[in-house]
Amino acid sequence: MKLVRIYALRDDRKRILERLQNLAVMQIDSNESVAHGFERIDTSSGSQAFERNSLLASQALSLLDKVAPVKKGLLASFSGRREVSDADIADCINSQSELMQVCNRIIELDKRCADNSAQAIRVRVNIDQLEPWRSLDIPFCTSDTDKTAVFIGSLPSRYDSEGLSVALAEQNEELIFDFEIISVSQGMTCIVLVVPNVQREDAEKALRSLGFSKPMGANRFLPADKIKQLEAELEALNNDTGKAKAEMVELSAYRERIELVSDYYKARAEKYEVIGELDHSAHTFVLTGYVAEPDCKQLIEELSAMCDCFIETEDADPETAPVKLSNNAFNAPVESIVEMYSSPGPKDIDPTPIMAFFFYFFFGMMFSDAGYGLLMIIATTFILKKFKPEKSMAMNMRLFRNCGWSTFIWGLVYASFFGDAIGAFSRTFFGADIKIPCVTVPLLDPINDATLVMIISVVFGLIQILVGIGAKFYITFKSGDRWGAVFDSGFWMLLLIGLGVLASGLVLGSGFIIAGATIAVLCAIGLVATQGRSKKGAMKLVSGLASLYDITSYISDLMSYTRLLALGLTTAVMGQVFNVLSLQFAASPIVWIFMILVFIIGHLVNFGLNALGSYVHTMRLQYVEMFSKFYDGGGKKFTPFAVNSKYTRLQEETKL
Amino acid sequence: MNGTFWALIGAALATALAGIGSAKGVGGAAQTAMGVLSEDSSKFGKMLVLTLLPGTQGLYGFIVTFLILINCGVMGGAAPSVADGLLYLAASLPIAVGGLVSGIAQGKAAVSGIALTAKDDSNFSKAMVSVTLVEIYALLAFIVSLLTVLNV
Repeated sequence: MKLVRIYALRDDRKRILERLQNLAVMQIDSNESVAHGFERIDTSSGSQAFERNSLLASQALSLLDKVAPVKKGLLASFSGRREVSDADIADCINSQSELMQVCNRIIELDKRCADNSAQAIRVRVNIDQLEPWRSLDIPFCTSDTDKTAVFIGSLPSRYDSEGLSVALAEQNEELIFDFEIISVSQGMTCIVLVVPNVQREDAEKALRSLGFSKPMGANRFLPADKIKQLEAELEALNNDTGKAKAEMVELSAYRERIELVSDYYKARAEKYEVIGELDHSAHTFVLTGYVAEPDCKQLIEELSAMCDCFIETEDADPETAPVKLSNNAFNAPVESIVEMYSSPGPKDIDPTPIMAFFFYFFFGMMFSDAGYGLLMIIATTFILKKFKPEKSMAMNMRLFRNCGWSTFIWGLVYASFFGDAIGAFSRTFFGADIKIPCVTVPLLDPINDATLVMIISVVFGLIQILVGIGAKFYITFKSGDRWGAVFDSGFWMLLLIGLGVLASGLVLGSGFIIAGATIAVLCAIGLVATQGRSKKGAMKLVSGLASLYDITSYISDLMSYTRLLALGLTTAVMGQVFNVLSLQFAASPIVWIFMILVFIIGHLVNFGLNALGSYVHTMRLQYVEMFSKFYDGGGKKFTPFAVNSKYTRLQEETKL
Repeated sequence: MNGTFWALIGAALATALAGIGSAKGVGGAAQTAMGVLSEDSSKFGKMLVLTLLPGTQGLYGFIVTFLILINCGVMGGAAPSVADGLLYLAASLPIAVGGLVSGIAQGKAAVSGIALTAKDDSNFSKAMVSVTLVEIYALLAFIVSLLTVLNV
């Protein structure tokens, strides 16, 4: 990683920044304090304005998605963001104000819909309140006549005419009244009551004690007419909402251009933010940033050809510089697994090339089915060819394609092709075992030779752990601490190898036992003698002895690799189970369809569960068992100044 | 009571107890994951992985059961003697008990892992690895059961 400083004229600033943003090779470093005679420009208002526009466009798009959703194919998520042509971009820049008006219009229309539906709810509540009064043939505000007082309102319980007469008489036996029950419902009776004017107050009193209340919103309309009015209003609101929605659907024709303009504003906002991090003088500016070493030379050439500028480079301080992993095509897909853990810290080496092989190998050993492996290879190749996936997706596809190859090969070793499909089906349909070398004749049978496979798993584990300690040895040795490398890593490697030889002696003969034991004991003595070297006096011996206790952690690490057997078996046996289940339907051709269905669904389930299990456990073996031996992590990932667009691929896919 | 009966008791225990462990583990994790998804549905993939992690115990139990069934005269093989039947029963115990307890424990770890991932996506790998730390004990129980069943 190099630290690059670009000195150039302010007039060229736009061109240089746009070029850098398109190339996406430089991470701007703004931590350096402002040099004497320079100053920073506050660009936050400009960048915020662009950010706001970008958000506005995004918001308009999400509203469009609600009224006019885009139909996406099942596999569309593989194809990533849309590609755009230069003409599209130019058109977008020319018509940006028009597009922003469209966005504003869409947001306005959506607000109108929201307001309308809020109003519609209010109207509907009014209608509901009036509904019991529909058959009332005088308006609510009917006033008293010369001789009579009129009461219109509701009582909070259920009455029939007789019951109401009795109830009123009970309240005041002298009361003269006539009434009409407009409607009765659960817990409410709507009535019109007429009494002589002189008895008005008595009637009020009686009614009050029965819980009488007047209807809300008294007016001069008949309830039935009012309901009609309100219903008309409701329909008008619905019509208006419909119109607004229709207009939004019409505006969804702009969708692709709005996506582009949103991305365009986002890119400009990011550029403005960077301008705020530059040191400016009256006519020049200085730009500092990190560039990966291989990109440096061509970046300098390109910028020098483009404008007058002076560029200086120096080695970046490894403590603060970001890390960009760079590996060959076989190893590169595993970079994402490393970055998921942590980017390499200042003292680390890039673990990708060390673990890539193990990752593929162990994944294959756990998934271990030639049929599933083939499916993975075909599916990932198809996606890579047919869709043009984004870079990270393409990397993942390549990761799984490599894992697929490994799975295929391990499937051949275990003679597992969709479980024991070939054998099981040939026995059922042809009455004979079809034996195809490599597909039905296992080199290793995880079910019958489980013990052997378990030993092999642990041996693979021993190899990976040795490679891990070896990496630590390399790092320590290179840093100059040669004896430290031998004492801390070399002895442990030899000790583990000695124990391995010792264990192999149980089968191969006593010579190996003696040789292994000798190596192990010598290394153990070496460890006791050296592991306390930083301590004083008697503590030297104590911490030397204590260090031997680490052997337990190595043993448990090794045992952890038995999962290679366990998960391999899970795939094989589950596959076998589904074959047995599907063959229950083999008896008559009529139910063969069920046989095929059970076979397909069963193996899909097995594929999903075990692919997940293999992925997770392979990762764990790398992270816990191997990384703990040599890898600290804690580095910062290289995040170049680039176009981080959301909908379209504005970024030029050029390699410097 | 013949040997097949005892072998079937073992087969039943392996699937049922390990299944209970997984069901409890996955159930708790799924509840938490859905809480997270109600806030941010884009985390579905990560949540799914963490939710499924305690599900393996049930599978291991099922595999042991299947191996017993194809050996003890139900789906193949010959009916075992009473002594062999009892041996199958004993062989199923590690994954039955180990699966039950480790499934529940892993479920709890998965719940915490989901909470950790919900706060920050970059914690996902750490959460995942921590949750699989529990798995090794289920795996060991499975391997012991497996080796025993295959060698009865």
